[in-house]
Amino acid sequence: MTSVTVPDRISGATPAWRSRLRSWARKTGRPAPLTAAGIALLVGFTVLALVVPLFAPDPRATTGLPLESPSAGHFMGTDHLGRDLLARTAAGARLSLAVGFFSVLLGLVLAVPLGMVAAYRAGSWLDDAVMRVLETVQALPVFVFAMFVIGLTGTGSSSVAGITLSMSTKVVLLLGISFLPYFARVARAQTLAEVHEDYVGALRVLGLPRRRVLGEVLVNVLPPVLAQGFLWIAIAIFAESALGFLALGVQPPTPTLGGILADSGNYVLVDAWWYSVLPGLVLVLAVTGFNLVGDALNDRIDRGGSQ
Amino acid sequence: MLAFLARRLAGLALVMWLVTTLVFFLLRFSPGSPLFQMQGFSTSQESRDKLAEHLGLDDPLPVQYAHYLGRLLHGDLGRSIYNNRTVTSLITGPLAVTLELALVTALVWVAIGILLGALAAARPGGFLDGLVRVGSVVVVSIPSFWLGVVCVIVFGVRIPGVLPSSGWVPFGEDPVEHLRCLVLPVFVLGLGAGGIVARTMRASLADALRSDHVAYARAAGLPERTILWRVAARGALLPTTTVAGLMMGMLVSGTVLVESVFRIPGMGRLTVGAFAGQDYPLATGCSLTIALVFLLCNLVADLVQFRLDPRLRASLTRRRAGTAVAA
Repeated sequence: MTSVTVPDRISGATPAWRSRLRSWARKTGRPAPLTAAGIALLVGFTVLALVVPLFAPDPRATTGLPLESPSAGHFMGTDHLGRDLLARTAAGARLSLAVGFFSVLLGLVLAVPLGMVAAYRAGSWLDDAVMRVLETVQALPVFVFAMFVIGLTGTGSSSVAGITLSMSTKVVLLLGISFLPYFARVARAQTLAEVHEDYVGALRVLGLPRRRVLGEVLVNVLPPVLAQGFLWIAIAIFAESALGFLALGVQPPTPTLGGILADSGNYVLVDAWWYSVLPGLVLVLAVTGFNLVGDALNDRIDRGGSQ
Repeated sequence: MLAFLARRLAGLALVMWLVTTLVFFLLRFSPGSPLFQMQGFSTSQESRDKLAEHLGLDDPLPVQYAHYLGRLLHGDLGRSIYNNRTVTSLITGPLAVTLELALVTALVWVAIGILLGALAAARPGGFLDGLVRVGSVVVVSIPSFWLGVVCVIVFGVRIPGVLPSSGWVPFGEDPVEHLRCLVLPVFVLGLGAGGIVARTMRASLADALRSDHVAYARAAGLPERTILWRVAARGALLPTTTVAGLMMGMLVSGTVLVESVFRIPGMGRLTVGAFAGQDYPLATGCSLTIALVFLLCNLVADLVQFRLDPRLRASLTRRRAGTAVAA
């Protein structure tokens, strides 16, 4: 590693950022074709989610005839109420992206400390208790959880302890909590592997408080956990659309990918194929993108760890 | 083995109790009373009180909870508040449908996955290898409910009559039609899982083929086919069975989407209906059943792994079971 960076620094002719970029590119290399395809899909999905809504018509407004097939005016056709399907898909994609990102973030923030503490006290009653509670959360499918939450709080916004929670926030909370057991397991397994390393023993011998030692361990636990988290954004996007499909997620008239697909299911018999196929393809391509890039990240970290 | 099983069963009982408690109290705190649902809003307070007393809903919560746990230990899940049938009798039919669907799906797709994964690993860089590498990611990314809708478009609208795209015919009524009904749901439900199995098999078999004992078998002059299926696949099947076991639990909860697309009368639709109607006993019973099936699948996956992996057995005699297995 050092033999690569030192000559760059000596040469000095090129600006620092450029040589740093070059050495980074040399280290990481050209991405594999599959990874490149994944990155392209992610960029496409992000553009659809963030840029298209700026130019598209209002996703809730009727701008055409019902069930128009794709044309120059409506690139993806219209739905059963004559609303532009591209605008609705883009708005749904934006919601999916936000829910996917924030639910995984929430799951990680809750799970990593839990998994690390459980691993640090591996075999103790605390470890057992944490693992059993996580299994309890895991045993109930997300849709059962969702029905509890909707049963308790309804499908609109609700205020809990003075804070107003919109339905999309509730979906984020729901998914974040149901991801918790999986993330905590990864964090726990990684921490278990780390605590046997020499540096942890050395820090303990030096008499560092437990919190400081765990902080040092965290630095090494985070990369694989974050790579795993990236992969779970794909699952979160899938779960959000599944909840929307079952009418357990964000409610109409707000467009969601799952909700659009559920509506389209009622119009398959009139052969409006674009209605279900095109928004569905967007969902498939987005999830594929996250999976491909997430796999590449995991592979890279695995290789880095074994060398 | 027995000590391991006993420890795991005790853990399962503990988790089931936690699930029961969670479900019971969550449901009781939900707004909306089943009394209004059963009698309408026009009834008198008096008749509602009578009904509440009849259903045991007027007792304090801890008493209701204790009663429920007590009956549960006798295998009694209570009665549906609507038609007075026992929850157990309402659940058995749909549970059998869901379990059959999940089981058939798992068998079909684990077989396909193992075969494709093994053939891919046998010829690294070959056509099948590329197909499994790319295909497994794409296939995992296809939401089952969307694939279901596409299947309904294709088989229900474009080429009707080839395969039934909706509904369910019990085996007793018409065995052939029953199997035809299964084709599309099994395809849709298991495709992603098959991709995961194929991918796991490919990766672990590729590792096994690079190992020392395979090199030894080659040096000893064993035929390549024996090496692949007898020597390398033995070790590679271990991670694959683990993945397959965990998948089974997910398939059971995944059926809810597929059931709603193909209109199959399984556990998922029963559960959704019970929650929508605020049928407390039925909803609790459904949730507990789903949780129990999930936990049992995990237990079986652990036991199979325990049987197959001598290292795990050895480590258990030395260390505490909980930590070794959970890690």
